[in-house]
Amino acid sequence: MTRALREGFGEETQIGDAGGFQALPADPVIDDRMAAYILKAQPSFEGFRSAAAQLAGLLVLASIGGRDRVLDEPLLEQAESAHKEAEDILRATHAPAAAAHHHFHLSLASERICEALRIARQGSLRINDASLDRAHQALKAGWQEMLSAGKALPGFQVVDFTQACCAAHRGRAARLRISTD
Amino acid sequence: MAKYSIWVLEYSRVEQLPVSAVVYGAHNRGTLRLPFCYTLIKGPDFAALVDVGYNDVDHGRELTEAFGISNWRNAHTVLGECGLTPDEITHVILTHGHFDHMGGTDLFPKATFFIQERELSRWVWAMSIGRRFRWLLEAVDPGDILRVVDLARQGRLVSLEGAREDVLPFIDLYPAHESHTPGSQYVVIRNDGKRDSSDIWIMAGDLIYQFENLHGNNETDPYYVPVGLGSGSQTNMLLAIDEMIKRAGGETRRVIPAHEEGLKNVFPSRIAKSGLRVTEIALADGEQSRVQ
Repeated sequence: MTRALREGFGEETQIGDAGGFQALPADPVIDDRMAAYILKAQPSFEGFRSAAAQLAGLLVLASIGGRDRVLDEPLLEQAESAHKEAEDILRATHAPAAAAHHHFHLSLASERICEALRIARQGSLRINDASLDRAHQALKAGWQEMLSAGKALPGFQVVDFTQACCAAHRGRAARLRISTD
Repeated sequence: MAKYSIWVLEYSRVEQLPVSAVVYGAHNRGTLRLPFCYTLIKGPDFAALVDVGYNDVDHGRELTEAFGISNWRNAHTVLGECGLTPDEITHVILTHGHFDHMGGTDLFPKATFFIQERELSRWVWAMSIGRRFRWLLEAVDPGDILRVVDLARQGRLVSLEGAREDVLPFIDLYPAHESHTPGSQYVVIRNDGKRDSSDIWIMAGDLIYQFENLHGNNETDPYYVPVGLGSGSQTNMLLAIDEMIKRAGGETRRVIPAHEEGLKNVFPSRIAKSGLRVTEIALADGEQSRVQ
């Protein structure tokens, strides 16, 4: 099995299929309690994802210097609202022991993204302002926690690939959707 | 007297993609193999990439299991087939913002990146108009947006507003707004170094996926067919195809779709040890062939 040896690069896979990932931990068994947790936590995850993406968008506008007054954009308020709703859902969601790892990362994501939003709100987000870098660093930390949460349980995607050019839909429903039937 | 060598480098593939994703309206035609590639332009003073693929570290398992993407290889392996390392890439032109084209920006730490400003600002707009419009953001990775911020803060991002001639010597960028994506662009390489070039190569990004988009599989009476996926207008995609062919002097073979498996039938190529294909589009004077 060929593996990437250089830091920062993903693992190479072999020709034909997913052999390169067989050594990864198997997905946890999804019993009724886990399924209930996943269904409750998904909207929270999605809310944090939206908030992070919206703030990232604002930071891009500020960084390329094309907008002098990015804080006038409605996006920051929308991101704050999305985060607040997601945080409320997460607080009301009981995590069974098997979901503790996921819940831990999602809680950290909430904290980091909240911090990034707070910095953005208090700073000017102008291209040469330190608040831009601080918000960016906090948001990157939050996004890393989102990635970790996404890998901890099935059903939590940080990117929606449904309409991507790769979307052959092979086995997608089985892996990524939790049915209540 | 070719100025640059050009190679299309496969870095991964999906074995079974619905044909309808590649050719608009081609329903019930089964599946095809779609290579994922980036393009290397090597000159005496720089080495540039058109797009950078994605980094398997973030989404590899999901992409492999959910979509059958396989044989992903990192940039050391892929560029090594042409005797280069990621550190030697000096410039990157991003044709558009989908994950499989710009997800690997942090793999090229010394490169300066060029993207249309509209590709970035329209993301933000799409995020501002509500969840019911989230289809507009599918295949866009928020992590990529954060990496773009990184590039900008490091002074390694150039956001363009429209066409830019000689972004590198004899290399021009042209926008195709509101087509495959809001701020798609394509690359024109004048490989004889002349303004009125007779040796033009065009890197089409995803404005076309495969040759069929150029001729509709009708040799006697060819017609344009848009790709199966796009957030802009099919009409704009057709106009962009027409513009690219005209810039290529009417020679459709000079308009290169990087997702085209059939490039091997038109240009010399070889399969590397990794199982991935290296296709040689052009060879600069004095440059060593990488496919023989």
